[in-house]
Amino acid sequence: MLQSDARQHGIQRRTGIVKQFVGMRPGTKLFLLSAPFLLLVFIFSYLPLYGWIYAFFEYRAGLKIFETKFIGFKYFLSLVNNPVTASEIVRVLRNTFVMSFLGILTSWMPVAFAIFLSEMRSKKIRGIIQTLSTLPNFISWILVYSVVWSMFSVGDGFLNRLLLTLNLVDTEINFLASTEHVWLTMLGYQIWKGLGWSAIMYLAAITSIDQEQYEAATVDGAGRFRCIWHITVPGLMPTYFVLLLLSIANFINNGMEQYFVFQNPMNKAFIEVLDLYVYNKGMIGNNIPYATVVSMLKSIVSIVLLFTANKMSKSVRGESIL
Amino acid sequence: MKMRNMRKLLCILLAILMTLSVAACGAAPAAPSASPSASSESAAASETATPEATPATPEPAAEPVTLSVLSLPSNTSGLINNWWAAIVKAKCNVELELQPAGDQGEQKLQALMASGELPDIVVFKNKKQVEDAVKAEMLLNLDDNISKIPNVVKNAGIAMQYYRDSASNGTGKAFAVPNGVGPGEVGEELNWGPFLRWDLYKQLGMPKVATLEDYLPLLKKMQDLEPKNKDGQKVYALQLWGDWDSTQMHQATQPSVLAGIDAGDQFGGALPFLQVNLGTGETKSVLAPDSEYIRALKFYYQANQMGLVDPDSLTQRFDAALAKVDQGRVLFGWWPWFTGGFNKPENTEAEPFKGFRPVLTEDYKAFWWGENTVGSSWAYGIGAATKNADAALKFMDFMYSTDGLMEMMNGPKGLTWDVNDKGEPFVTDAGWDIIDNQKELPGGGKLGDGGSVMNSAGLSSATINPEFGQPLGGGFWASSQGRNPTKLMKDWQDTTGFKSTTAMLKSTNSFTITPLAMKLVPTITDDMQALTGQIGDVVKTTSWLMVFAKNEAEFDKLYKDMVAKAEGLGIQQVLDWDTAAWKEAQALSAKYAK
Amino acid sequence: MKKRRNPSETMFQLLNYAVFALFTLACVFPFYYIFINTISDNHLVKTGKILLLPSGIQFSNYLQVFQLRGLGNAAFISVARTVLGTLFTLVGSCFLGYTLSKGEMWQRKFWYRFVIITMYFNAGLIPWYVTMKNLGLTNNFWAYVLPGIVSPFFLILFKTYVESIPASLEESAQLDGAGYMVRFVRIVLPLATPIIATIAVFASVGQWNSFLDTVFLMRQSKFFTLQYVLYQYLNEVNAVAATLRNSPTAQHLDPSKLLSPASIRMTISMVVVLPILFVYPFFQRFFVKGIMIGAVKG
Repeated sequence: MLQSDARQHGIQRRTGIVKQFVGMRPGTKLFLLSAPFLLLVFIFSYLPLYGWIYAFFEYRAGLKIFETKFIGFKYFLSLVNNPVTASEIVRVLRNTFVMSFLGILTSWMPVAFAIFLSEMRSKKIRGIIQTLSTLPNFISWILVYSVVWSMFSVGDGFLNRLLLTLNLVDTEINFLASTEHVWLTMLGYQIWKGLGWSAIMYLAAITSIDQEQYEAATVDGAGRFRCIWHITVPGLMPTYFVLLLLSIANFINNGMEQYFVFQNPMNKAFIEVLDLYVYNKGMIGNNIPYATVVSMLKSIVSIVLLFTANKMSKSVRGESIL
Repeated sequence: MKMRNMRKLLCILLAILMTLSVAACGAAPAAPSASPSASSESAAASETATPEATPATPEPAAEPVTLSVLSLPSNTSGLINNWWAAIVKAKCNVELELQPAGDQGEQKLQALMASGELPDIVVFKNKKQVEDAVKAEMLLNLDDNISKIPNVVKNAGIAMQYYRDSASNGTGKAFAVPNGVGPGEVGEELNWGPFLRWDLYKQLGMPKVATLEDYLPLLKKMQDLEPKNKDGQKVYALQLWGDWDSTQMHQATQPSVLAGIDAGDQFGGALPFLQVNLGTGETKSVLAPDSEYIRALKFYYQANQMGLVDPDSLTQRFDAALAKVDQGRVLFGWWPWFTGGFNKPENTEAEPFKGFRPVLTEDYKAFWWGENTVGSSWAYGIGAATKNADAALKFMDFMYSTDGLMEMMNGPKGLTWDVNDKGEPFVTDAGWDIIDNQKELPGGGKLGDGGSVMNSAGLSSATINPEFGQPLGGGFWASSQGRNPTKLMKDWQDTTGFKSTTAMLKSTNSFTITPLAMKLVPTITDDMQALTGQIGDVVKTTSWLMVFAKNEAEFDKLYKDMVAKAEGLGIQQVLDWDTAAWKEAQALSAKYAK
Repeated sequence: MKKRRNPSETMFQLLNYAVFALFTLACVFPFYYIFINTISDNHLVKTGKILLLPSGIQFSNYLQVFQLRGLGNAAFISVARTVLGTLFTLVGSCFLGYTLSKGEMWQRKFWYRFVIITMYFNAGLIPWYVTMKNLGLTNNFWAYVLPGIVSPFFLILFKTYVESIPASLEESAQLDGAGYMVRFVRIVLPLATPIIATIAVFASVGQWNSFLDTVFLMRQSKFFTLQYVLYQYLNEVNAVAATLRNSPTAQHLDPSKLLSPASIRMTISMVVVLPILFVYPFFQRFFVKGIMIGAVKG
């Protein structure tokens, strides 16, 4: 939609531009202006991809690649060629999908956070909340764990002591070793940590909405919630959908830091996502071909997901984002 | 890859960026060329500054050579500037610049190797890294320079031969030398226990402990005697933590040491899942029903059933467990440095005193490190691309010299230590002051900051310096023994009638000397390593679940699951490899004996 | 928003404040908890006694950190990379985001995808290092800046924002004969300050917090960043425990160091976060709803 608009404008104004840059089409000019930056992308992101070749060789650092043994798809197959491994992979993928799915289900929360924050009347308080709510983003997961541990641990945990004093329980509970609600708990920590931070982009996006629309709507007698629903929300949708699409592409990349620090033998069956599983197998550090296979597969899956989601967006919303 | 042109490309790119006048970045185009020219300058300067030529050559000779070092064991980086660096500069005319590595050492080494160049000095962390570097022809051939490293030849000759034989890519030349060559380090006190609360043990009338399982009823009684610490916090006899696990539950690999048996961890994972009796050389799978590892799991399981295990164990980390020792909430520990946090003067000198001392079983056979002629798995090498070969060789030789290491371990001679009229080394009063009060030395840094620069030494600290007939490390000197015993220690001495734990064990011959074969296990293959990781993940997780099983039936069921899964993944292949590797190591041990 | 004073409005504001206050409290408390633990008596901290109020206040943890060698230079390098890195990222990502928002750009769709999919590439450490080395970007300050000039994520944010600005604004300038560069600088940038502020916040925090590039690319201490020096310090402490774990018989280690990782980690965390907290409010004044467009149009 936007594209075709812009294209039309371009055609309309061809004559004006020709006056200034004789013989050069605006598209070419734009491309030339962008070329240095595109070159940077090529150098820093595409050039290193030659390393994917390691996936097919028994490569060790320092050796010349063609002097090492060609192994083809050995490491690709090693992911699934053993029944025990295969069943583990199924379990791990289940955890990965659940966590990603929960993440996508709650992706509207930063939008709501930004909308309601900007509805706040006091500019000062708004600023303070905006700053303070980003704090958890800066606390590393390992420190989050030590704080959580001091709240919930068995011996000295704040919660256990409170429950005992109030006579609500007889014996202490090891909350962190619980096998129940592991996914929801992990989601809760994620939201707590990331909500304020992710809302920043939406706070910025809200500012791009034309103020006149609100004034016009108010004159027409629209209330606060109608204004939000009919003006703010549609105004944020472009940003939201782009980010949603990007997160769908990240479906199999949960990262591992959070899960790594929170894992214990009790909750491991539920908490082990793909990234953590690969790490726990202890192979990423030393085995270059294996590590390459994993990151290669992940890249490919992500890009396929990205374009699939883009296609779907096109057929559902009639608008593609890429 | 044709990467040579990339630099040019980048310069052009930056030029375009400039013309766009999008940013006032006048410095940018000059930058990429800055570093190569800087390094070639320093290289040029150092080429002329070989130490041999020092007196003859004019001006640049006095300039010390800066050696670039990648030490995987080290935790420091940048140009080193402390009391030890001053000694190195004076003795070798060398300054050390350590490359950043942190906990990314392995990856950094791989990256440097892939880019085709290693720094002047590399300290490797395992033999496989040396083998790879040799295969890639990135290390200097030491045999071509053998006259420049007389101390290495004299003090670590066998270790060098071992690497000629096994880490030279079939060339039979030495490209690296292992660290830590020399006798095992057994001081007055063992670095292995178990340590129990001695005061409580005495109150209970010192019941006999025949074997491992007898600790349980004893600990139960001790815990009943002291259910809370002085702050009113609950006391648990045993603390476990999971963050030290690699392929097995780390805590469950410890009890077997009592019997002089390695339950799969003391080799540093060299023989995964293989139980080795270091006295007899017998082996079996750690997952066999009568293995020491399963026995240890059962031990912890029973302890948990008796309420002796801190329920935090499942979720706490090592530092939390250690803090609990400090607070007096623990009654048992495997190592002196673990229980040491409680053995501070306010407890050991109190009236009545409190503190941890070893309480050993009657079948005690824990191991002492034996004479190690081939060194540890860490090793020194010199990058083949070095422009400072002579300086690097000189420094390497220094790290294998008894004189050099005595100063590294004990501080500058004449300040922290000296030699008396009888020719015996002793720690001076100033030296004790520096040690006891953690003071800085002139020139900067604490005493320990010398050794921690490279964090590895060519020879073990128990190596005898022929000049004095005494070990290198001050802690082992006759003059340092039995200094200022605490009330706790005096009581232990009076009760047992021995001056030290090692004296007691020597009198009953209750120890196992580790065989040299332990150090000669060949490097694990990539495939076995991969398999080990997969199986280990199952083993360690299930082990924890077994310890915290609700009842015997669950314990047994989990055990069967673990064995079935491990077998399904192919543990037998690993065990077969282990057995062959262990046989090979045993066969080799005669060859490299002293 | 127009001021509306009616009961439901008051209710809404009250409820809104209450919910945000609760959430903010949940965000602040752990941070506060970490802070009081870094300034309380270390012995009390170890016994888990510091929960709501600090006790036995001392600053030895901070003094220890501030005495680290080379901290001053490291802080300078960190500030330099943050400022320069952010500036370069803003220029590169915003400008490319602008040109890629133009329908008339040659092969626009292809180039946009060309940039976006790099977000999902991970070639691995070794090829990355070799590439950087061949570019002369080892032991070179610009290694902190150049790779981040075009960031696909920031580019997307900027492009999406620019596309939501009414096209009529640029059109009038175009009719006056202004070229792309002029329109970008004179019209788009002023209108896009909120998103530029957002990107600046993200980019600068990313620059400020990164340390792995130092580990792999730098050799001389003059290029070490604050984060790296702190990481090394923490690592040194952790390593004592790791050494003991790997060789339980190791001699000559200082077990007193074993006790500190948690409090050191907390202190480091504070040292790193506090500067961010002071800078962030400065960016916030660019987040004011609706003023820009009104001003330009008026």
